[in-house]
Amino acid sequence: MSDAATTSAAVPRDATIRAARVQRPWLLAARRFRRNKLALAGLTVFALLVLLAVAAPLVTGHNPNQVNLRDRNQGPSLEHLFGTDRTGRDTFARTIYAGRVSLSVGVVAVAISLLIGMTLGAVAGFKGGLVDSVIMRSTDVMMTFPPIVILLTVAAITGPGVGKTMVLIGLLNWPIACRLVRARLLLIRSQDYVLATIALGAPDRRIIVRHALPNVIDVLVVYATLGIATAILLEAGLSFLGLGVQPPTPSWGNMLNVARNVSVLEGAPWQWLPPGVAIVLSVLSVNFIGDGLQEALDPRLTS
Amino acid sequence: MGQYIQRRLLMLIPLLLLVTILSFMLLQLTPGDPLNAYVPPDAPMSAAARARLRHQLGLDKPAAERYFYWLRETVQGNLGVSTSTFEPVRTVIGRRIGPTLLLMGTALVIGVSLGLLFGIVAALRRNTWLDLVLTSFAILGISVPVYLAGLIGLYVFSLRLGWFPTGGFSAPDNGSLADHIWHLILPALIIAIQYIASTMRYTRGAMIEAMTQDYVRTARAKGLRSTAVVMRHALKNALLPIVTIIGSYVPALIAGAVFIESIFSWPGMGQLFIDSVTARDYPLIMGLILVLAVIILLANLLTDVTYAIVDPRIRYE
Repeated sequence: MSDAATTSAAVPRDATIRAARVQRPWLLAARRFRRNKLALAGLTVFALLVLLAVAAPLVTGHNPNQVNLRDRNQGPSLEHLFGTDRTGRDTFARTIYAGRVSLSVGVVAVAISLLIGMTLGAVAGFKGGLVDSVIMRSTDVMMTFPPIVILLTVAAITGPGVGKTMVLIGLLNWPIACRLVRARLLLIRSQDYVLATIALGAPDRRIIVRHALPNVIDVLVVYATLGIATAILLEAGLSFLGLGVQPPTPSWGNMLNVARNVSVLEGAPWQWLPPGVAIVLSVLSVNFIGDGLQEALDPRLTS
Repeated sequence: MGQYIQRRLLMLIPLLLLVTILSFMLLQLTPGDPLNAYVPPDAPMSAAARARLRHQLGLDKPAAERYFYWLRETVQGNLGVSTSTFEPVRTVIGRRIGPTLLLMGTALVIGVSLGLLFGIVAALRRNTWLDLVLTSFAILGISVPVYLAGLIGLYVFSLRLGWFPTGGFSAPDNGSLADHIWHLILPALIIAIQYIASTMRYTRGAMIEAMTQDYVRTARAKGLRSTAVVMRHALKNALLPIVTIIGSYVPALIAGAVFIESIFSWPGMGQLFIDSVTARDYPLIMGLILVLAVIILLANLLTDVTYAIVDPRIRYE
């Protein structure tokens, strides 16, 4: 009886200690992040861009693909905030609807490269030997070439499209994630507490889930954030050259494409400036968020 | 050192083989008949004549055999014939490589020298309004993609202000040096923005760190003029690792050239690459990838060697 009482008293106490221990580093990180003004500004701007994209039909009454030949190449007005393009489509509507495409290409591409990079990085870091060398040499070769060159070559083969662009950019950016995970795993594997766990006979699965993964999350969070900016830039670049997202589906990159025509570039800046500003705003805000996360998750950097 | 360079040059061979095998394999995945690149499918041509042509071009052979054929000819300097212009790939690339290297080289020189200058100024005037302006410029320079910078530059400086021509290598009736330089400045400057920004960020950080080192304090304590302290003691040490940074710029310089050449109608390899990709001109794509790979790998080698020369502590065995 008394035995049962002590255990029942001990269990909750142990649980609260544990909960506090698990939460505190993240709470501390959140507090550090909140103190970073640039990161907060970035978060606000990015949230605004996402909100505009998601709530696009509520923000504008114009259909982004509605051709109106009578209102071609109109300058900005109350009716058309950012004017109209050469087929009379509303540039403001196209810019915010393009955010849906560009931002989701960014997020999906990062998710793909994260998945590949994490898996290969974990395999390389844990298995070592030949598997490790093969994976690492492939990342070397992939990182040597400018991504846009590989992307253009592959896009020429597969043909353009939203889905293909997402997958291609995802397939291209995994080497960085792979290297981050591998480096962290090698570091963790040699730590005393992990060696102790191995000595105690813990199975690989437990080591990976309990010790390795929690220690990799912080680098991956930062990578994923900054990776969104890279992916947005690659999508826009590819679509700018006409090999990414195809019109009539608007994306920030293919909206910039019209400016390759000098008469549009000179005569109708409202057609290409808004998507350009949207690209810069999203990349800047994502970079500020990423830097803020990095400082928040690794306080050694700020000191 | 000589031995080390020799070994590194030998190591280029397997890497280049790997790059060409990968790109060859990739291009095999293209849907459609490669013969269509030579004769459109709707061309009036009998099936027998098609088969004969296919045999003559070697397109009926297995992929591995065609790769070895391509390799054998490439080693002897024959990169094949472009399927869009029917000129030898070597001639086409030979004509375009000069302008690209000129553009990339100028951009690199502008980027590194302005980046160093701004970085040193920002570090010495740390936490003043000047530092703030330069640092903000650097953040913006890194976040604005080169194609957008190219459009804005073309719009503002060529179309609105009329300071620079809107594109091309030189005016049709004017081949003078001054005219070439006039055409070169704007595109090179735009590619350079990123390198000004990243070199500046790096130099600023390295200089601030170097200024806190003991040897700088010693130099100050013995009464050296502050320019001597900055230039001879701090800068020299801060600059060592920048050599490696410059080497890592080369892939991004190529990416910059791809976009900027297309925007400014610069007759270089970047524009050629886009054209070859849109025309699915496989011999030309293979040739360009090979040349780009050689440029990047040689730049890496040059970086490592230069680093060893400027920093005697580095020893390659």
